[in-house]
Order: sequence, then C-alpha cells, then structure tokens
Amino acid sequence: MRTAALVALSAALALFALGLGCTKASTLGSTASRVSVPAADEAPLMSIDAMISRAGTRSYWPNGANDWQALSAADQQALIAASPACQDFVSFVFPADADDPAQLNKADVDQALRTDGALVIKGGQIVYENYVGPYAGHPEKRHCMWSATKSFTTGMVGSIAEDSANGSGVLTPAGQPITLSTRLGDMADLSAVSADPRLANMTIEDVLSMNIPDPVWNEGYDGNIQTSNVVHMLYVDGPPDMAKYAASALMGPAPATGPVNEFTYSSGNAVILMRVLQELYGDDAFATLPWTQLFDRLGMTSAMLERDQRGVFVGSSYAHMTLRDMARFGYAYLNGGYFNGQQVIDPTFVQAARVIGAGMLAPGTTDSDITEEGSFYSLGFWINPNPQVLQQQGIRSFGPTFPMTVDDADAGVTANGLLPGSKFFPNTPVDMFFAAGHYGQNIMAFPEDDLLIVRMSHDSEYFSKLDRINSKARACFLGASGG
Amino acid sequence: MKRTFKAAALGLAGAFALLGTATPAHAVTMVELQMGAFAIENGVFNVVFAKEVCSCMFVDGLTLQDCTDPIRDNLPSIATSLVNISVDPVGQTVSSSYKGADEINVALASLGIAVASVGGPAAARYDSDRFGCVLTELPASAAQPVTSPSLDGGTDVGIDPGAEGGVDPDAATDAAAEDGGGEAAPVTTAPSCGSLVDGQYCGSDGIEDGDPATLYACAGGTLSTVEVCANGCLADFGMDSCN
Repeated sequence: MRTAALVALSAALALFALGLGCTKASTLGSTASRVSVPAADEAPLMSIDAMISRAGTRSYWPNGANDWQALSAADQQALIAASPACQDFVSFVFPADADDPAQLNKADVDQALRTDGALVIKGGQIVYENYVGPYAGHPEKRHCMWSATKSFTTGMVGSIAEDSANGSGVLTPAGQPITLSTRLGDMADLSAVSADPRLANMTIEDVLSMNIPDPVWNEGYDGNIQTSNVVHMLYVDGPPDMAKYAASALMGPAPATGPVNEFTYSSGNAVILMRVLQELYGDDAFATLPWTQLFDRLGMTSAMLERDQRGVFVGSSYAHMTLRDMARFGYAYLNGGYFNGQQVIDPTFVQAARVIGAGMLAPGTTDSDITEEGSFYSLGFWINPNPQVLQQQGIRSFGPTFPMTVDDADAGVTANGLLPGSKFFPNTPVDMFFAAGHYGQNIMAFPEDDLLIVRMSHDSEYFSKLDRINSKARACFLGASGG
Repeated sequence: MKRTFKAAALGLAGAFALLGTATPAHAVTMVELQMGAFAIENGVFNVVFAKEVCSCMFVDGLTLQDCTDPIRDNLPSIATSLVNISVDPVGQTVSSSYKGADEINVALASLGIAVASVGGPAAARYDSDRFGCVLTELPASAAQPVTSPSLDGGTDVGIDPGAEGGVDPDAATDAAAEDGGGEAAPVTTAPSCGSLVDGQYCGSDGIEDGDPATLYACAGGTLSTVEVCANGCLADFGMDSCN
C-alpha cells in the first residue's frame, strides 16, 4: 500500500510536470557547453522501502533514555589525526579564525564558517562531535534552528499523517485521513484567519513545498525592514496572531483568469499550517502536539518550540534544541520515517522530501526563481538533483544556462560559479537532502552512505560552503571523492 | 533583580531568521537588515532585542556576553547604539527601549535619516521549558511623521550597509508604493480595476492608481467608489472594508 501510494505520488508529480511545467524553446540539453552527467546522478535514489528495511535491521536507537552510540573522544581524535582528509574537514568546519573580527571586513561568501557545533553519524554511531565557543564543553545547550524549523514542522505533520493513516490519529471533520493532498479548508474553518478561498484550497503539500497561488510574500531578501513580510510577521504586525498576518500578506489579488501558482519561499506558510492545526485539535491538544507527535517519539528531550501571543507555534523559525536532538530528527528521515521500532513519519512525507516539490514544479516558477534560492526545494527540505536528469525524465525543463547565474550578462560573469547543467552542489550526491536554517543550522542526510552531517552555527553565509562541507566529510568518513 | 545594560556594543545572536543574501542563495542565509526611520518609529529593533536576547539567554543558555557578541550580529551595527536593554535574570524577562529622539537623530545623521519620534519599548518573558520566550509587550508606533525632507511621507529609507551614508531615494519610493505607508502619493491617473475579479477593494489592494484610503467596488471590470474611509481601509481579498 505504501509503495502504491508512492508510485501514485511520483506519477502525479511527473504528470504535473509534463503538463504544466516550464516550457522553453531552448532547453538545457540543447547546449554543448553543459557539464557531463555523472553516471551516479542517473541512478535511481535509494528507495524509501530500502531505507525503512535497513532501519529495521538496526539494533540500537538513541531514544532519549539511550543516548547516541559514539566513538570515544580518544578514538575520534585518533581518527582525525590519522587522516589528512579528516584534518581538512575539521579545519574547514572549525577554522581557527572563525570569530576574528577581521572576518567582517570580507564579503560574506569569503568569510570563514562560524560553526558552534558539528556532529557526524555513520551507520548509526557518532564518529565525530565537536563544540566551540560558548558551546565548548556544553553539548546540552540549545541552538535556535531558524528556518530549519520548517523541516521539523514538516516532520510533525508527517507524523500526524502516519497516525491518521493507521487509524490511531486525527481525521478531518469529514472523517478523512490527513494526507499530503488534504486541503487546509478540509481541516478547519479558516474564516478567522482569512476569507480567501485560495488559502482554503491549498493542500498540505502546497503549503510545505511553497506552492502558492498568486504569491506576493516578500521574505526580505533586500534587507528592507519595512517591506519584508517575515520581519513584519515576527516583529511588527504579526506577534499577536502571526498566521492571520501571514494569510493577509501571502497572496496578491486574484486574477480574473484564475490563480497562478509559483514557488515563493514563505515563512508564513508553516505558521498558517500551525494555526490550522490549532483549529483542528483545539487549544489543549495543540499545545502538546509537537511533543506528542514528534519530539517525544524521537527522544528529543531538549526540543522547544516558541509561540506567538495567540499560542500558535512559530513553525517557520523558532525551534530550539541541542545538536544531538537535531541528529535524532535527521536520523528519522534517514530511516524513512522509522525510529526505534515505530513508523513515526509517513513515508510519503519522507519520499516527498527527497524529490523536487510541487512549488518548484508550479507553472509560474521560473528558472531564476530556483537559481535565486541556490538549491531545489522539496517538501520542507532542500535537495540536490541533477537538472539534466530532471529534464531527461520529463520532470522539468530548464533554460540553456541553468543553473548558472551571471552578474554581467554581456560579459558572462558567473555569479554562483556553476556551469550549465551542473548540480547546485556539484561534489555532493544527488540523494543528499537537507534542512537549512539561517546562520547555518544544517542537517544533511545521505541515505546511500548511511551518513548524517549535522551542524549549528552563526555563519554569515554558508550555502556556498555546503558542497565543500559535504565533500570533505565524505572524504574523511567514507574515503569518498566527488558527488 | 534587574540589571540595565547600555547596548552601545551590543550585537545580537541570531537576530533575524531565514533572511536572504545577495549571493549565492536567498532563502536560508542572511542579509544585513537596513536601518531606516520605519524601524525606529515602529519600535522594530526593540522587539527584536527583547525577543531574541530572551531566547538566546533563557532558552539556549548563553550568557549576555555570548548573545551580544558582534560577530553574531546581522542587525545594522548602528542599531545597537540606539537602545537600552534590560535583563531580569530572576523574572527571566528582557526589555528594550529606544533612547531619545534627539540622541537617535545624532546617531543617524550620518545616514541621512531623521526621526521626529520613536516607537515604544518591547518586552519578552521566558514562558516555560516547552514554549521558550514570548513577547509580552509590543511598542506603540510613533504617531508623528518623519521630518526628514528626503523621506516620502513617513516611509523607510533603504541604506546599503556597504555604502556609508548612502540614502537610497528609490527605496523610499518603492516602500511607499508597496506598503501604502505614509501619506498617499498624489493620484495623477484615474483608478481602475485592472484584472481584479468582482468585489470591494481598498485603493492599495490591487486597484491601479487607487487612493489607499478609499474603498472601491469592481463589477465586470468597471470601477466605482464606495466611500472614502475616514479611518483607513482594511484589505481582505475582495471583501475589503473601511475601518
């Protein structure tokens, strides 16, 4: 049944892409200057069933009372000392001059990483763990997850869907199970939030993949405090009722010709979804929902989730937890949603987190919408597919220079350093998917490698450095080279 | 026991979530937020400092010094010199208030920004082991308009943090157009419904060249004026109404 559902999901996505995806006269495959496609990029992703099956063979789970299994500190040090590749990884992630004030005089992309803590888990065991600065010697200290909170919200809803599917959880008022295709309006009366029918028609999948009709939300990329909707939501108009503010700012006027969906990164989405869940569950049950559905089941005893003044969780931004609890969540996803003898997260949610999402397949989504993000977005996570393979498979087509961006179109000066046809993270495998939050809160999952890389940080900029983090970690802990 | 800190050297750990950057990726990295009159008049920095210092100290367990390390800051550096932060470690509250308008104007003079008044204070309280910090006091926006002649009727001014003193007049214009902030620009062309479906719309809610304080009706693409709103107009997706 699970497999059938996943096949249906994949087919629906493919049909959607074929029918409505971006069409261009000149596509990525038509240029001779594109980079070659590594054979590994064309191989199928490890199946969700295989991920769950492998999980079933694990003999140890870090379920709260049992902490993570870990190499001893001495063994970790010996591992690093014995390998130049490992020393390269450590010096990159924990540069000696990370907090040197002189770093502030450099361009963001040239500044050193400012990692507060990093953790690598291979085969279910911690093989590397380190904390510096105020976190040195204090692995119990929490860190704000910022936008990585969206991944936790996605996992929580995936847990609700899993319970709903197996008969132990909540249903819609009409008695239907909660799935990716459940409409917000089917879960609750949204009239207190918005009268816009487009909001009620958005599905859970739409919300979590940023597939928004007629979006006008401004996440604030220009730094303008007055026009940034996320700043308004968190700090100006929103605090009394963030979801209501977000609903009012998410979409523009409805065109007479009907809505046009487009990927727009919106922190409002997760907060709106939390508000819908508050309506569905009622205040008391909702107040414990992140713990009953997710945190407690994964043994994430440090996890906190802050709320607005109305008691709605700020599911976009305000989770706090330790590095080891970040890893517990990542481990659940690495295991197909299975954790410690239980299918905690619906596998369809995990699978949807590994493939390009409905938002980036939407008819209004342009190539530049994607390149501006610097990665593909799935369902609450970021992914690293090869765009040429996506095009070969008919999932989405791209312009001839994708994903290259140029600062000076006439001169052809590349802005992101990528060549046409490249992956966003060229030296990282296509099956890697990751949570990402402001200032460098990262959970990178590599299913094929059975590897997790987790870090919390106060980076000025980190997206341009993720490929190097990944490739150096894989060189150290797997002896691997390339993506 | 309350301690009051002058925040002259204050940075802020993780001040703003999920903001973009110019290169290479937007969604989950950062950009330094811009200083402007809007932030001062509306108490924005007070809210940020109250909430995020509370979370940094009482949720994450860092010291005030850790939380205010400049290397962790992505607010405009000058913002820290505009506020006073108070931390009550026993009551687990943090509050922030702006210094006086005169003092702030001196500090902002090099940026070409002037304010006539400042937004009120903000406060946050540690709630519980599950829910962390929550804002308990939000600032009342300043009632008086900005006096700087370079500003377009009470709107913000975008400052390129890399360009000292560089007032961006386009930013003010754009901000006014997008948010309907401040006084409405003179309407020089007749308003129209454009592609709007039938319904009632504030002038700022999709009506082309509309007056933000006027409620219009669109029917079959034809526009009519419902009323001029004495207390402003509230947008609500084709069912807009006067306040």
